[in-house]
Amino acid sequence: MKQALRIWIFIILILTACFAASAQDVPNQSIGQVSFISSQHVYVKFKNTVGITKGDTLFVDKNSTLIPALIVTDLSSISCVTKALHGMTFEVNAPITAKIQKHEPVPEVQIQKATESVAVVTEVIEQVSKRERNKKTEAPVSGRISVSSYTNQTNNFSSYQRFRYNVSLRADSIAKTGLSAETNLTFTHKLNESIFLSDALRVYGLSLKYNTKSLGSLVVGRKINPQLANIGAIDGIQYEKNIRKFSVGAVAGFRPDLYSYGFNPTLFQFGAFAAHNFNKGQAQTSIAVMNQTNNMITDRRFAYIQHNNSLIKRVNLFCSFEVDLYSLQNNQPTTVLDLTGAYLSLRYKPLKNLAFTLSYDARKNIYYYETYKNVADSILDKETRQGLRFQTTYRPFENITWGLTGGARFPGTNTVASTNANTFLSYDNVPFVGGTVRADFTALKTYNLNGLIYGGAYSKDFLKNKLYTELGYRYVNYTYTNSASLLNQNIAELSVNWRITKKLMLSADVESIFDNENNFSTRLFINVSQRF
Amino acid sequence: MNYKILLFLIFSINFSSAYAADRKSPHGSELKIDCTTCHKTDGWQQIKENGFNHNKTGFPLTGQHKMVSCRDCHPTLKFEDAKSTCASCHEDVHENTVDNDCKQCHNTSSWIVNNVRQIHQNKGFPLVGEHAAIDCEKCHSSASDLRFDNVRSDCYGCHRDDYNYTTTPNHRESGFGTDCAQCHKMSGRTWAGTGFDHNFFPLKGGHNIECLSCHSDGYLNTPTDCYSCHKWDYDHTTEPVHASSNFSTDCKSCHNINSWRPATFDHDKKYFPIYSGSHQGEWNSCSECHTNPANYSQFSCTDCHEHNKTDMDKKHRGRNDYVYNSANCYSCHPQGKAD
Repeated sequence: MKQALRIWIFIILILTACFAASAQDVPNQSIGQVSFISSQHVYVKFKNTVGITKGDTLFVDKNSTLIPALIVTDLSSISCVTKALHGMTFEVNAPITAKIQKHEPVPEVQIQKATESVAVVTEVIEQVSKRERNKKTEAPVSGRISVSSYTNQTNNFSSYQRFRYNVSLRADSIAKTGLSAETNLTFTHKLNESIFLSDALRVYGLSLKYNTKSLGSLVVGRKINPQLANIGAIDGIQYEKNIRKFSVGAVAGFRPDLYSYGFNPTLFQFGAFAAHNFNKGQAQTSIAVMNQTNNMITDRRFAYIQHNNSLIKRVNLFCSFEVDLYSLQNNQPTTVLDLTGAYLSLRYKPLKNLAFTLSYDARKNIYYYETYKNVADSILDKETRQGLRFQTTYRPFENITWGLTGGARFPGTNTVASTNANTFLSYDNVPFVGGTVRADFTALKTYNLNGLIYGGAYSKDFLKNKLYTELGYRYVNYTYTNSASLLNQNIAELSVNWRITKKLMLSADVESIFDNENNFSTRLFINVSQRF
Repeated sequence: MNYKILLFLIFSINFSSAYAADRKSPHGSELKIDCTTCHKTDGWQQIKENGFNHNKTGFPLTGQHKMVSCRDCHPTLKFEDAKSTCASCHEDVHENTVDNDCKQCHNTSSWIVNNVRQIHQNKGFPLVGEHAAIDCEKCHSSASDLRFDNVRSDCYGCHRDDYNYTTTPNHRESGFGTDCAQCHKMSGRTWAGTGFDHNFFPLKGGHNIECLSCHSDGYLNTPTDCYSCHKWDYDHTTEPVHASSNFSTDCKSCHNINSWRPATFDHDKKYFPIYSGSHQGEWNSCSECHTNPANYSQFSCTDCHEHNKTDMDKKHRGRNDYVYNSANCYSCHPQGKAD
């Protein structure tokens, strides 16, 4: 028994060695191994592919007989891309024989271990990763510069033109360190009007970030923190550290000035946040607490909670809540729980061509107790505005899409709710002419007017999808609840988006309106955007 | 036991090699496409342009998304790690004042919002007239220019001061409603003039006068019927007398908005042809036929025609219902003809 077992083990060892063995030194032949199998190709690695050309047949050795198995469709210096002949199946590391045209002394191939059969791709991965790391260490600078113009012209009112210039830059791994920088700023002015820097310049981000794996990341400067997006930009220090599936952080700095959006050292604020990431981001929860002051007196204190969940297949839930924790009652600081903002969104996609979205939002304007203490209550809107929105899209056929959207908006306790409903139908790849046609209808009702809007549009790509154009028309009929007046508008729209080069885009939109009271107006948007 | 360990080692080696072989792709297990779709055989770094159809993923590349580097969205080679929500790549410069469905306002071509009109329709405040002509910051003011706090959509929310401080007329004292559209045209550019909507009582012709001419007692419940303002005109008109003739108190039945004269009183159709036929040009004043100014239902034929009774009797011998008086003349000769 023991003797028999020893024989079996010996046989298995021999077979294993053969399985892991590389090319044999056979004249006019080269032996390689199957390195990778995809749905359409079989990749075979050789020591080198000298003597092998496209169209060559590769063989498998069965009982010392070479059986045609693969046809070479492409090759590199060490690897062949092949297609299997009918009925042939392979396993990784299976030996493959190539008949070479000339007798080349094939160097003795070392027997490789079975685990080294993965070295082909592993080595590639390392090479690619190394190149990626090297690229990061070269500190690439990326960003975008854009120039926009908005013109509004009417026949019975003064016209104006506004320009906006935006620069957003990002530089990673400066000087091959963990240092990176980013900026996002906008300059806006109107034609023929005086320019004041404090009104024209808006800096949304200007920061340096130092990132280490062990210590976390530190940001200095002005930056919007994604965990605290509701408070906007923070001028100061932001620290964040990832600990496995958790991340924790703290911020300390100043709020931008409430009027000029510039730096204001009297508006000190500080806070902390924590987030949890579950199952590769399928569920994310974050909570933050922030205290904002004005001359070191509490102005506002709040908590912000956000949750994003796509654990259930085809369902995505997003919700966020903002809760004020501080109030002044009879000039006495009081701890409260006042819901100032809530947003819930549920998206369900039961089928590939059918989707539903339901969202609810409730928002109250933020009240700063110290900053607003001298502002008349009458001009501060403290009502909670609520909104409900439902949307569905259905694609019964590949070319046809139908959508329905309904919404209701509740401005506050003393005003009437407004409702609207919109439906559209679009047809892609119109026969003979191509492009997409779309028809839509909207009905709306506000506290003092009712409206019916009929629209149609035709859009098409040109120049190999580099030029997109859309031409549309809308007819609007408004009737007023408390007046015999009515307003009919004819609106023509034209949109053009032209990708001039890979990184340069021009967008233009023009909208002209004629109404039954002989009013005429035109809006023109132009945007040029250069990426680098 | 040694052989068992050896067997275990042998199978482990084979298993690990097979297992490792299946995990060759650095792009993760979710990407199930052929390598040659993206890669050339010259090297892994040689990527085929337009080789991979991104439209087949749940994130078709349009607009600026086609212009960015792949690495901007895919920081690692495992493509499934890339997030497809807007917030995963883009900062919320609106500070959570709008919901997270960026597509409501933005498209991938640029950040410019070119469907402002539709957005406002959906939010309960369609932009018309002055509201469409002014700059956005007039209503949406914030330090960052990109924050959209609640703004009331009723008129009074923004035009409180206009309402409270207008004195001609005084809106508050007159008890006017706070819906500006009751009197002011939403499509207008000014509060007065062409921007003022008096269409419920058009101010044209003789009605295009000072407000106080009609609103001497205030602006509430001002009557719109003719007689309320023109009672004196009606009661004192003598040529013809309106009241005793039971004329309609709706002035429009005879008069136009520009002037009392000429009146378009259709005597011919209603009563007796005097602007056509044999009586045209035969009279100068209503009193020539209507001899009783207190009662215009009375009239005289014989005063003009000077007929004598004897001659008329002879002419009408054998005629039934013949009576020598004006009323009977009219009943047989309503068109003023002898036949």
